[in-house]
Amino acid sequence: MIKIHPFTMIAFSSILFFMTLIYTHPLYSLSILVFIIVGTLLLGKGKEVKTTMKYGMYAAISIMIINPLVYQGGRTILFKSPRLFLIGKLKITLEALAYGGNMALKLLCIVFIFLFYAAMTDRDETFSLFSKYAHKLTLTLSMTINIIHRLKLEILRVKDVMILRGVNFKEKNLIKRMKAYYPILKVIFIASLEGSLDRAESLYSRGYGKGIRTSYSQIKMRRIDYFMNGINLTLLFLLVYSIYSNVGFVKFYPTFQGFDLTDIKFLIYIDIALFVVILLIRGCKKWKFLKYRI
Amino acid sequence: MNYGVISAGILLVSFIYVFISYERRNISVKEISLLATLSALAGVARVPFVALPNVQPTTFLVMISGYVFGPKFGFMTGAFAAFASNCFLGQGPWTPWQMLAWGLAGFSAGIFKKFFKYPSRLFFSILAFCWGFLFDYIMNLWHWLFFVYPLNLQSFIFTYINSFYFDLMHSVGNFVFAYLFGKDFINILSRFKDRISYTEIPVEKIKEE
Repeated sequence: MIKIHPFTMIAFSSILFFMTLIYTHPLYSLSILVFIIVGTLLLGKGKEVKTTMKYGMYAAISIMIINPLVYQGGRTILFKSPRLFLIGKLKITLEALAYGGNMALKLLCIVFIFLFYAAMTDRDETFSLFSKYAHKLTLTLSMTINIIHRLKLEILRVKDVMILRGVNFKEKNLIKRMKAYYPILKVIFIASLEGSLDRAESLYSRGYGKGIRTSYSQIKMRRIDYFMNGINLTLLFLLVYSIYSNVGFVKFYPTFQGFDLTDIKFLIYIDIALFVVILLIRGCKKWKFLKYRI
Repeated sequence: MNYGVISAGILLVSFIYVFISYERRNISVKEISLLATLSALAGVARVPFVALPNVQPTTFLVMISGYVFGPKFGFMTGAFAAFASNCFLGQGPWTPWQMLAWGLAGFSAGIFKKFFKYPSRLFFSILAFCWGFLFDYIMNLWHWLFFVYPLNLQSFIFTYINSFYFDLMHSVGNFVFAYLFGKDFINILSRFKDRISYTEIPVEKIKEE
């Protein structure tokens, strides 16, 4: 796994996130999407990409279907229905279809940015970055996540005890099965509340909140972080510049005008910056020189 | 105007405000630990029901913790439950909206208690039922603001009608959970509340003798 400072990754993903939201040009979103998927695959997260893709496609298709049905504007009419009950005449236009497709692309992009962030950083490191500034929040959150794991074990334990006492969880009758499960819920509920008191006491006895917290390890900025932050700055500059000079925007309504050449020329700069990141990821995984030097 | 971006910005700023005020509050370790436990319970409750579309006891659990421990506590429970459970089910752009929706569910239950001290089982269940719809309406609002164009009444209604059965499942689930477990769980939590806020009986007299 490549170790990158969480700050770098937060900056990088939020720039990508705003780029996806702000640009309306589908090619821009597409190139970001392709970059993220390739990057995540290079990190060896093929399985996660698959499951995210499944969910993302479901949501994307629903957007693509709803949008043309809801909006009747646009000049290029593809399909006109006869008068329908309650709804009236329905027409599907090329513009609405294209807009829906673009939005679906954006949704996929956003979902994958989150996945990419999770793949690039360690969750604990993100926590320790925030714990410097907001230690109560991070403490609560990391405790919550810890307890979720414990609860899973606890449920299995309680279930074993109940089976020993003769409760049948494989009851075919649904109501009977629910009745069998009900005590588990209650036991878990009470037991975990008791546990919370114990945890509070152990925190207190270890002197929590009495002074400045000690930390066992520090996360440091390394060469790769400086390099990535350079790319972040470049991307930010490109984003601001493109908003200023109105590049990267496409109007879908009333008529879809096709793509402008200047937009595509500008896209090349963004793609170069993103390609460098891909090379960096691959380099840190495979090339010995980069792996040990950076 | 891109309303999606604006709404995300407003949400972010208000969350930062809420979290800073949580950070500044003089909160005890017991409260932190209890908050973490209840959020974990609410979060983990989502997992076994993933197979049933939109049926989960999370909303109900967040609501009873808000009901017993007050509106602020309820909000934080909802927000943490959403964030922590998404660490396992997948973070995404929906996370802040879920945090908001569940947070508000907890918050409203806390407010509800201030007006109705001893609600009947049915009354509380009906509140839970309403929150099933409200939760999904907040989530739909996100969907509508981001991905639908133009933002007019027609597209608004269409988006909301489209998810009606989905929302109904959530509400019915909430109702059933609140009706079956509501009274019991509120009793357990109230008793627990008394337990953590106990004061020791002074023994000054024995010491003197």
